[in-house]
Amino acid sequence: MLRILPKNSNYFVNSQFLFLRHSSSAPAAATNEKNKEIANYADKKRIKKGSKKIPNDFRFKYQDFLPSPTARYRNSLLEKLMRKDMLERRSQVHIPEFYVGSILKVTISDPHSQGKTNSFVGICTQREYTGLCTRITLRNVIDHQGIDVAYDIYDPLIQKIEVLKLEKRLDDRMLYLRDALPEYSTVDVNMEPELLAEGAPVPVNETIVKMKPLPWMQKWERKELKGIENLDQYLNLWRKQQREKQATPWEKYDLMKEYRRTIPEEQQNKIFSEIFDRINKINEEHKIKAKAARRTITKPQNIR
Amino acid sequence: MFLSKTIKTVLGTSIINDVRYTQVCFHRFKFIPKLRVPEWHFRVERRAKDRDDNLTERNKRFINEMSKKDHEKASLLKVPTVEPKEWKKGMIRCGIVAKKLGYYPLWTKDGTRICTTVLQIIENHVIKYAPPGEFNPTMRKRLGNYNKKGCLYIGSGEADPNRLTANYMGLFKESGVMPTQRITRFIIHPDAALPIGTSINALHYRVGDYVDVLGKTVDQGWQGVIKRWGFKGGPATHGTTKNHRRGGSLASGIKSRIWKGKKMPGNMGNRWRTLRGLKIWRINRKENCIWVSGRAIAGAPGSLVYIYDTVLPLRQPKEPLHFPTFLGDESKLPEDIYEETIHKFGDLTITFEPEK
Repeated sequence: MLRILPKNSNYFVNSQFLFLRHSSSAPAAATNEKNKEIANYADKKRIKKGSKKIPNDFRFKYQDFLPSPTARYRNSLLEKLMRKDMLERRSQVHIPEFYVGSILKVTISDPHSQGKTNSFVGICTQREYTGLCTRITLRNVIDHQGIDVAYDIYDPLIQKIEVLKLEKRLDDRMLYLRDALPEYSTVDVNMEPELLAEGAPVPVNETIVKMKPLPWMQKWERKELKGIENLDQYLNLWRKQQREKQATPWEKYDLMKEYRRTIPEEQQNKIFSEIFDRINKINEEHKIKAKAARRTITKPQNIR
Repeated sequence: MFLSKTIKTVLGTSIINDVRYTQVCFHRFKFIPKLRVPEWHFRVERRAKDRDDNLTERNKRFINEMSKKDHEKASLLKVPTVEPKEWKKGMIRCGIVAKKLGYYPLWTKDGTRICTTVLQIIENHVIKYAPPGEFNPTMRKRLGNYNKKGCLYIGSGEADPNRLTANYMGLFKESGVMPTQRITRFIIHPDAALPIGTSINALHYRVGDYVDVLGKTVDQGWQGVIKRWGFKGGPATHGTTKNHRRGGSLASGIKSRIWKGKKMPGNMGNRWRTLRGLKIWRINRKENCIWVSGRAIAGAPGSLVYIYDTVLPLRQPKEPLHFPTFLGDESKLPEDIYEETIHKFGDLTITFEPEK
């Protein structure tokens, strides 16, 4: 269903953070021969356990399958049930690889205009929650009016999700586009998809955004964002002082905090080895379907 | 010397005359919910100091072997078969103990989303049945006359028998069931009695029926008036001092005292609360899970809750319930049982055809 976000939606799990830690259990630099032996043994064991070689980009492509890292909400049975349902839903609709900053087109069947579809094109500004509850927001400016629309990815109303432009941005959350100049969040509605070669790395779009004058929705100056250019232009002295006071530059060195907001590699491998065969099969089926759809396009007869 | 003598005399008289000499006048009564153990129940876990953690490996092996034997014995328990009976209105069935797992979204065929919670039904075994004559609850006044009703004692959840007390283990001796994490009593109609050793499944309930769920709310500790009762507090500025999160005046001058039940700061949470009239949307037969409407079931995820049939008069079942439990063939049913209106995830995407 269509859901337009309230203005002050502060609650979101930063989902992009979950997948940074991958090489946590990599053995430390083996100085002695003994340590080397241990490391080799550990590698062998890991390969035996996992049995399948899972590609490294799986944790980015299929972010939804990783559960939320907060320990008190986790339950192995609940995650297992969710994964099963997610795969079943994915067999019906192709949910492609996309990131915050890439341009999407979502079409849904609309209960208010029956027999028709409703589609929206926009920049993906954030990804919330995990599992069956994953939600994305798209932003676009239409007739000088900024619009944010939120979609649940596993909603059965969704007919198609297309990636028109696959790219990353400098930040993991792009909600500051609401306070930026409208030219940065406008996308052509009739845009044609830009294709990337298979296996090519995802390009990073390094555009830096100019903000509108105050008032803003949030205190963007405190969030350590890379994608904004002219923050200091609008800030007064008190706000600048507050930014320095409340900054926490040591937090990126806090190993424990990073541990709590990520999921360790062993658990990730366990999850992905479960779904590995099924999801590859589903992707192949969707490819065949897409090819068949391309062939059946015929010219309308009215054109002369 | 004189003091000690007086105390002795006082104590001596107190026992004879049954008089208490505690000072009550300035005593401050606080409601601190405790774990009150009923008479028939015993302490579950042994204290840390009584536990013998310094066992040798040989002894540990021996204990594990013995516990394995007990498990085998329990698995070979012969349960007498029950014949299904006719359910009539007002006949109370046995409840179930379940584990609250968490939030789970479901969608209907119209495309509307439903918020549900998943309840996993852990192992439930009947330990004992007290027929109407024997069952004699302590809180009789409040509960009413229970001479006509029986009681089922149900053990639920797995437990490590090495950690349990001998007294608690003795409660399971007659039944032959392995000792469990918790024992609960369910007051039932005498026709709904089950033989000792029977296990109760998720199929005890049906899809589309309504259910009450009882649980213990999350303990928030001592909280102020704003969080506990939703008061507004005082103004932030305009010269206010020390009055930002206060409750304001306690009463007016007419009565010249505080009314009973005045909302004040205190211990928040850690109480038993029920949510009534929750619909069952989906049942998973293999994992023993039930999807129940609503997100606000009491307790943190992972805590134990109790499920009953509803008391609400307008949500009573239209077809007779499985009585005393589900006794049919499980293997014929599908793994996932859905309510009629719910969209299965494996189905095609929803499309709306235009009206003619």
